[in-house]
Amino acid sequence: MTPPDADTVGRDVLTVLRRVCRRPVEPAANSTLAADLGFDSLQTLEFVAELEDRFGIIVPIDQVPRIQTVGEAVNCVRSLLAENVHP
Amino acid sequence: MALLTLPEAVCAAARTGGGYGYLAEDGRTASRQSFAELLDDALSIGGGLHDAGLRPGETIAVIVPEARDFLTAFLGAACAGLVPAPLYPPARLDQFEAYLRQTAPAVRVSRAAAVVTTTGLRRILGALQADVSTVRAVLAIERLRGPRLQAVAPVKLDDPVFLQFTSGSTSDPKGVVLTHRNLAENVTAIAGPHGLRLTDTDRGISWLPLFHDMGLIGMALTVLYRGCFTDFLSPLAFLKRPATWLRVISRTRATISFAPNFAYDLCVRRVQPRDMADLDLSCWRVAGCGAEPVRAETLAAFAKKFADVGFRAEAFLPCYGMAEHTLAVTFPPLDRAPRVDAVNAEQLSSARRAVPSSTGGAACTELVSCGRPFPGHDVRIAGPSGRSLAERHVGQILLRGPSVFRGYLGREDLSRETLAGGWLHSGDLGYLADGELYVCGRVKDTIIVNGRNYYPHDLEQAASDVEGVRKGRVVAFGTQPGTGRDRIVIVLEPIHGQPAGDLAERVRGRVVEATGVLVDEVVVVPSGTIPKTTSGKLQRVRVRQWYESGVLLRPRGVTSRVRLVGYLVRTQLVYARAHAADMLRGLAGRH
Repeated sequence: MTPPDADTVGRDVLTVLRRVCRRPVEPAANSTLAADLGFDSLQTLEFVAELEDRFGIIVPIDQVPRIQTVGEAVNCVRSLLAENVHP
Repeated sequence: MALLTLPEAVCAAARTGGGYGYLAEDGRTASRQSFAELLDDALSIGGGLHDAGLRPGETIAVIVPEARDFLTAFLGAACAGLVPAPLYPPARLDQFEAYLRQTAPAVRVSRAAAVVTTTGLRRILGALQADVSTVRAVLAIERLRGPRLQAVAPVKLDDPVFLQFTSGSTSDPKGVVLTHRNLAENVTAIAGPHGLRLTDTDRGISWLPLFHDMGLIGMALTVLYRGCFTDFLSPLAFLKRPATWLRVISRTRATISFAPNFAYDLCVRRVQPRDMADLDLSCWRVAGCGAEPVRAETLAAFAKKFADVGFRAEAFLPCYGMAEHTLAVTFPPLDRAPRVDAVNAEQLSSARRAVPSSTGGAACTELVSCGRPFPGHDVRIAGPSGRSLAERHVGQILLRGPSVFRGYLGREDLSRETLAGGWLHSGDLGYLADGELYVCGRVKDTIIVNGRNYYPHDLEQAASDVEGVRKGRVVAFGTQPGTGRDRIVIVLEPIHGQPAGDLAERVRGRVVEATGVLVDEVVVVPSGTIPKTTSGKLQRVRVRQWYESGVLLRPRGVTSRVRLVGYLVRTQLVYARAHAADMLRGLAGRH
């Protein structure tokens, strides 16, 4: 599995993640937001809102439940950015 | 003013200038539906329901996520003389088995003749037809546009209007039967001179789920009966960006909006200065707060943060209510800053008396007044013998009047017990002071140690203040392992995946400092273990049962981290994560 910080998007996702966490964490790509990082659903939504602000994307609300791990968050951002480039 | 049945109210609303607005996720208006259009749509859905073989008086479960479709289906059923039972829709399509397991009991209790849902959900919910013998069809609302009804059904005020499932846990659902008279009386009280004093120029905004009584009755139906206008935002849109709620109020010059305490907390924490730059909340004349205990410090922090953008503390309306009383029980006067009663914490728990205290700090508990009952409705406080208590004595809150429900569907014993002696036994504890109601806990949750009463909410609050404890995921209860004496147990989830080793000790320390109670055991469980009911209340009873049955294993020591085992717990865990109700912590059938 590609580590989450293998590129700029991955690194920026981790920066946002740490800010929402409000404590030092070293997540891997397969770290789950809930069980490993202790996010509740409100924090997950806060994380998504912060990602939107950082990357200038909109994550449709029905896609939010699919973001369960750090890697899924990175992939979600990547694919939304790709859609923006090639509309 | 004559009381109207719900179908009559839809017809009357169609002659006003009012209606509903439906907002996109960013808060912009996506569509509008005047009440005249709504009546038209409802008559067409009603015709479709009759065409599908449903007959007046039959119950249908309504499982529809989107506000516009939900309200059209709900009111269409009402206009056809059917009794709708709104239920929570699934949050995720990939965990539908858990959803069906949780939902089938409520459908069974409702004895629904059909399930009305969307085309997308119909495939999944089709299983309910096989699971529940009364269900003859699972219908998609998009295909229900039948020949328009010629007229609304001629229902009577004392016929059932709908079933509320916001009371009780998901495993043992209790269907609250309300009549058209209950509904008309309660919304008339909410809108009237002792309530919100709604006028044609008032405008509401709500992100509360419509399958919940505060969202459905408090906003949608009150506005319908009064003929004014309200916008709906999705609950998830609010939870994702709390500032959207405030931006809509500012942009639409909304005057009325209700939310539970946690929503005001969320705004204090999450709304950034950049979100506030062009906010103007001076239009917001009623900021209702209910559905969970109202905290003085939350209201104060919100009022302080948003004072600069025009919010007035006098706009707060902390209130009390419950599903069995249709919705609203007490309101304080409009345009009054929250009235806070600082009482001696020791006296409140040991002597069940609210003795004013000026010392502050941990020795003092601050409670917010929820106001007075509406005209024609009574509230009294009863001691264990059932006799009324004097002011400032804590007892069970009993209610009487035209908003009191008829009973739980199919549960005659429980209904008789709940309505014993002609009073609705709320199960909540409270006291009156200067005629105003203060709510301080639940009867059944009360922990008794050495003859003293403790309110779990207080212990949970103290434990939540400890760093590393996840707010809202703390459960306190008393248990009697054959010793005859309550042991006090606190079960909590840490914020960190791996909690600090001394977390349990720090919680015990903080709780004894704040409340004087020595906790016998602190159990730290993994994230997602503590379940919620669909109404979002902490499931103290269920966690206690798990604890007592040994499902929450304690490998060694008095205060050690536990492992989560057992099929039951795993399924509950999956469900707790999947369900949207999980996000709406605190949205209960009580207000």
